Amino acid sequence: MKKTFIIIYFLFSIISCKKEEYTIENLNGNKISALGHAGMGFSTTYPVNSYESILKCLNLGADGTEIDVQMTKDSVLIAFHDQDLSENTNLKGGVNSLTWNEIKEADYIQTHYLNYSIHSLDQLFSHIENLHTYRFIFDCKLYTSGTNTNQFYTSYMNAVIALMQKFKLQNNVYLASSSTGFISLFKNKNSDYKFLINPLSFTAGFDTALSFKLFGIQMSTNDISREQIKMAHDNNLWVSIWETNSNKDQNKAIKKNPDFIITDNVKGLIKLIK
Amino acid sequence: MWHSKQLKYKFLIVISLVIINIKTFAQHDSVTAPVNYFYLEVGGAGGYGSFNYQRAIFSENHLIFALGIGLSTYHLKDYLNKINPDIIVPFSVKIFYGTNHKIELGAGETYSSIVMADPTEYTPKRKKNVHSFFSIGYQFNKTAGGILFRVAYTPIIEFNAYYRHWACIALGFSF
Repeated sequence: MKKTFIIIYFLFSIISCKKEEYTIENLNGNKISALGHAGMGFSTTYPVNSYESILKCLNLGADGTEIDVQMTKDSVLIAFHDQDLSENTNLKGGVNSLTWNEIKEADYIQTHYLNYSIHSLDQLFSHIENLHTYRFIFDCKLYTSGTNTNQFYTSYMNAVIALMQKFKLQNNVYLASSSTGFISLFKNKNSDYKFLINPLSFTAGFDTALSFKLFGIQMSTNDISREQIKMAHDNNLWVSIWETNSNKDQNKAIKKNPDFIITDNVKGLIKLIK
Repeated sequence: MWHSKQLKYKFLIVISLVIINIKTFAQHDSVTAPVNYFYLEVGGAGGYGSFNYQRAIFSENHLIFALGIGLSTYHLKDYLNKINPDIIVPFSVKIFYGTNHKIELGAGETYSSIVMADPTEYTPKRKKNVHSFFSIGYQFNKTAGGILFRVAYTPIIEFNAYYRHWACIALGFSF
């Protein structure tokens, strides 16, 4: 009796571990691209956006990663998340108030004994093998305090274009922003780049994406339904969703048929969809 | 890394002095409390946690003098997903006062060897450093040995530059 119970228990365990099959319908060739959240996300000891975090994510088999992009005082694009460097590094001040020479000396100090460095996007992309096989979403962090907003946007745009041209990344990079001012400025000068709007609500994002002829919408999975994603797809808008960290959240997110999923649990998502 | 050579020398001098003192004590006294202590620590000098061995070198009345060593890591695989673990080894010197319930005072140095991207070649390289730490806390273990419980405030001076408040809780056994 005991043996039978154990066998049934193990059989049940095996059945429940069976990988779920998903039928995906989207604009991304009916596949979902698994992207890291600034690399491995906030749930590991690698600082988000560090070279090590991004490389770990790609080496685990992700299709790419989202990167938080900020611009220094001397117009160098760097991968960094926080508004002020003092939040997680041994430097103080906003990224746009310091030069790259000053910032490159900073160390992340969020975790004991781990003093990883901040990297420029130029450094990152110079040291990623098979760069063109990956997709990158740039979360354009436009912290303009202490600057002329228009001038800052223009410098930022020029820096992005120079980077994309240097590494021939126009087809691999998606620019995400909530600023319609920035998007409008950028698209008026260069309509070839792929923009994702980060809206407050689906309706607002959908309207903006259509009126600006954007590539798509990027939202928290909690704020968008399967039907809304279908509606976006019907209007030729791609959809990127984030805030999918537990397996349960990821499972729900996959069933909504987005084109990209950004996650802090890279291993978990890869297991589900690869 | 800055100061790391200086720190190593300082650390070696401290350890040498401690060993000399222990030998002096050992000529007059014998150990009566449990000699060996194994415990798993959450937080503490190992960072997020560590496995530790501690040995009582000298004890007299309610006073115990002990040396400890730990082992911890953050990643077993490096960012290229190859087995290449970070290594964190805290060395400590502690004094305990009490019978079953003890107060603890300690200090030590943690050696860290962390795998990071080399800033010029962008290949995995080990960055080695030494950090200082202190501890003040409480430990329970019966004089006859058995279960050990420890809780302590363990501030760390990382890279000998940043003072960080930190604490630990530990469970293990002694014999």
